[in-house]
Amino acid sequence: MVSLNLAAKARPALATTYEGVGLDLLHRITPLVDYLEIPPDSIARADGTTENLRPELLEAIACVAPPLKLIAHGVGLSIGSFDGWNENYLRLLDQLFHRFPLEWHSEHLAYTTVAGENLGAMIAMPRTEETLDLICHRVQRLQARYGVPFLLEHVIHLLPDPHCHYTNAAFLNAITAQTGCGLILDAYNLECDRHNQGLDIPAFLDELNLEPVRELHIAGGTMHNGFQLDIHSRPTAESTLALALDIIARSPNLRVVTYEFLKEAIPALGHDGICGELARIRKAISQ
Amino acid sequence: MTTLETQQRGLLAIIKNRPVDTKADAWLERIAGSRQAAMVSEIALWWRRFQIESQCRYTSRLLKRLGIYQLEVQKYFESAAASPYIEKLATGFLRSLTSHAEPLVASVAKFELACLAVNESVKRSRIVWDRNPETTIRALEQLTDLPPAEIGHFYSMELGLDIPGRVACSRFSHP
Repeated sequence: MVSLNLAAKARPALATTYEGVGLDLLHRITPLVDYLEIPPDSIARADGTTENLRPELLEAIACVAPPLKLIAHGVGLSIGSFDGWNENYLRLLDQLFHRFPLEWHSEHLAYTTVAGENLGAMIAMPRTEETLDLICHRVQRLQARYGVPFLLEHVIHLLPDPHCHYTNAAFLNAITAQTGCGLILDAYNLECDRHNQGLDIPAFLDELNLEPVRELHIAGGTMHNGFQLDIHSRPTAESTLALALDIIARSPNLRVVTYEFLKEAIPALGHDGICGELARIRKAISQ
Repeated sequence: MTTLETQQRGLLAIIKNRPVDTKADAWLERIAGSRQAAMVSEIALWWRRFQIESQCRYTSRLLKRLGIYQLEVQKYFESAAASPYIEKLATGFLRSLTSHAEPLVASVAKFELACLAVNESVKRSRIVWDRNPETTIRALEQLTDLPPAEIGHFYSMELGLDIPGRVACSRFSHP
């Protein structure tokens, strides 16, 4: 029965990040992917006191979309800040929605801002009843505001957890059950959590309701001082790709696999390296 | 104050190396001084250094040459609300250096700040240098030796949209 189900399931589409660097790279990756993942924060410029999307980058995106479909993936919303999210990020997202049709948008289940001050880091939420209420309320507001699916992505835990009422998977299950939002799973983030916090990935996946998983992220990162870090600057490791294929096989509604890399990593990865990575991932997820 | 607020405010203080009452929360007590919290701070600082270097070309080169780049970025990160937007981060950092105890650092920071603003503001910027600014900037650009300060003389540089070539500079003797 399982193999019949898998046989009937469509192969996931392929996406990659576009942070506004390198028109020549954008044109090289366009024939290799189906979607572009746009982080609104990364294609914005601060003009005086406000931030706006850079018109020249919107034009560059317009040249490739269509044929490519677009998804937005935020970094700066800070959906979990105790004192409210970043309205500036939503203004950027409004601008992106105004300019392009987006298939869905997403954010990290985390906070980057405290009392209006940027932490310089993205911190995972404590998995408590208090946090659950806060996140679900904000997810529902986002769903009402934009009218397209909203997805949350788990982030790596560099810090040990505070006292929690939920396991990692149970917390995500509670959010998706209460709000109907989707999920992004990040295979590399799971590997980081296994290395840094001892996460039992098979147990996590067994407990997680995989039906809301619409997107899967893969990337390669770095080790530093004994920590495995989510600095997306390397090709995808074979172990990450193998985990990704396992998640793909188990997630009935997964639509897109996204290879993420930081714009700062482009010189090290090289255009040929990025294109080669996309071809490699495409081949793996198409089998 | 909710538990979430206590923990988030406390973590901000820990990351930014500010005073924090860790007795207020068991988690804060656990992570304060931990290698994990140190790693989070290190990553945050690494990104700020990387971003500032890309935007503040001359100032970062000068600070590196003086061996105080990491220290100055850390001081700014810990004391100010550093913006996640690179343009605001850069201008905030440069402003923090405009009254630096080392006059050349202050001059180069003011110069870069003026360069960033020259297309957006009708106001002129005036920068006083203790040495030839042209050879100073060239030295920072080419990673060669800096010219010495000129005792008894100073240079007055002005940047503005209404100045031919947008920059003018004159050498004066101290009265």
